[in-house]
Amino acid sequence: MTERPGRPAAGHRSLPHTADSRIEAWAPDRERCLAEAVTGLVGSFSEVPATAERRTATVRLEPAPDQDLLVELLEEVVYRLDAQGELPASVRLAALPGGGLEARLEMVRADAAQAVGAVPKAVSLHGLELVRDGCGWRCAFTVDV
Amino acid sequence: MDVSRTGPYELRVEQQGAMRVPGVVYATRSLLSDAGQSLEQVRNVATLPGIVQASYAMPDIHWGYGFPIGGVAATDPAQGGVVSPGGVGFDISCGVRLLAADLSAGELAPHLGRLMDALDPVVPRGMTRGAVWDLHQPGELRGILLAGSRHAVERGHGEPRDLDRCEDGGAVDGADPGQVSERALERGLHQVGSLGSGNHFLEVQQVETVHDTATAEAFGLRPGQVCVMIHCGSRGLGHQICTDHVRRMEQRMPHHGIRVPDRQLACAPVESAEGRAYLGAMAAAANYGRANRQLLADAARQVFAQLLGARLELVYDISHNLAKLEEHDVDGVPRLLCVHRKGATRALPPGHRDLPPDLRDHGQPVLIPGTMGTASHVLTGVPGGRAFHSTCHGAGRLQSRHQAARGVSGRELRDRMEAGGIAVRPSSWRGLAEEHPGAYKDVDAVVEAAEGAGLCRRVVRLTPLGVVKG
Repeated sequence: MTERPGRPAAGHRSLPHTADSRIEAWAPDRERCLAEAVTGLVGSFSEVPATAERRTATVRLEPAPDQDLLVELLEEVVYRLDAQGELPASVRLAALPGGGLEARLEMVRADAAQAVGAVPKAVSLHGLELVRDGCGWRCAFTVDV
Repeated sequence: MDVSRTGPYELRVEQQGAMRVPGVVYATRSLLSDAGQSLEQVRNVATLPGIVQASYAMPDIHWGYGFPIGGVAATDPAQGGVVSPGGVGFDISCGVRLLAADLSAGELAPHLGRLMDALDPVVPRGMTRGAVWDLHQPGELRGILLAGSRHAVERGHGEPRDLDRCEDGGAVDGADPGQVSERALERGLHQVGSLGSGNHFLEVQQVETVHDTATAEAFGLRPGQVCVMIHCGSRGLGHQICTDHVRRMEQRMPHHGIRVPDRQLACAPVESAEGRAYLGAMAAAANYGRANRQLLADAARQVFAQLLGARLELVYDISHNLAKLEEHDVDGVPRLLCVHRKGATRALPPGHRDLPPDLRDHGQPVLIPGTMGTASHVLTGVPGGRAFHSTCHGAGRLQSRHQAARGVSGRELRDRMEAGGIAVRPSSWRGLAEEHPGAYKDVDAVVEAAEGAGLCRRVVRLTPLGVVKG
């Protein structure tokens, strides 16, 4: 596996999109790539103080194609923000036997975070990417804000 | 080249490949400077089963998902025509409400700062939870889904006259709360009466120019008058309904023998179980969107009454993200069509039977929210209106949020606007910067193109005095 020129082994960044937010994430393995995607999504609209009180939430995702796992994970973040007023300060993912995923989300109250951009409301299937390439894993997705 | 100009305000995208109809784009050359992605989406929409006449796009066309924003497409259910949630958009019944005050801009001027300070805390918006109407009764949300603004008015959040000035009398028929998921209900419970974020806003405006005095008077508008414009939609509930039904339709498309060039164009025949389920859920979300605007209008009315002793009368409430079953003449034959408008506004002509009697001679008020800090417009429908009586919905984005925020800081923009006499109450500095006027097309050019293309007629131009930004 080779490195991505000029980039750390794992990370995320915003990509241009006319109306909404498009985010790219990458990492050496699938689980870290998905975790970077969540971090990129949360960072696109909020800054979470390091001192914010945290609680752990565990989410199990049923076996599905990789792209659908990505969408489901991001949708979970969007749903929890609206329904429970919480967002993940960090996330760790582990593959489950049989193809699913377990996500451990360190949740903080949204009102403890600072808004820095438009809040995501849904994940689009348009232009959705999650691929394994010579450098590891890479995904790109667009969220409606 | 498959794209040719057929008039100063019209392009034709030739039918080819899997397209079932051609594309027709109403825009000037300069409005299409970034049209690559969105023209491809016009072509993709033209492949939908049962599509009639053309895949249309309005002058504010820009890159969306599945459909372009500014896209209009009608399908014929009797010919296997489909409904696509992507043709409505995530924010079902996102729309605009305009209220007119019995107050002039000159009379308001000494009190503007106090008015904006009073509106700031009563307009919930941004990332954190909070809404004008805290729903305590479990049946209250169901009432909203079934009856929209009608339910809100029945519960004391408005005046009976408001319903005469809402599309569909304030509620879309056929809402089916049984097709709304638990997740959607949970997301909607605490957001009735909230702006959200992004390009949503509540603005205090003034009538700057009147193009047609008789029609403006019929709409209740006169020069120098203070107005309130509210732009928002069905919040998390509508987005979740779109998400849920796209997924369900995508899984069922092979059963119906449908293939689409973009996953976000997932669709189902209108006359299928999935099609009916979506239309029932979509109507419920549309009603939620209307109640949402009704509650925000109620909050604004209370502030105007308490602080200024002024009244706010509803001019009109429109949706610019919706699919509706409507009767239209196609080649001289009346047909019932499923008309998708995604980032496009219905514009009924004078004499249309769906208009309230006091507006029937003038046509439907069409509300076009402009770029923050520049201008908004009130238009009306015209006889022979094209694209199934549709027109534009706003300025249309030109720059990405990222680009926009790089160009100016939120604080700088606030200072600039305040120096220009516009009071600003943002929910976040970055969010404000992402919405700076340069990030959008020129709304005046968009409206001029819409009028030039024969889609509508200008009535009034509004300019902002104060912005409460989502």
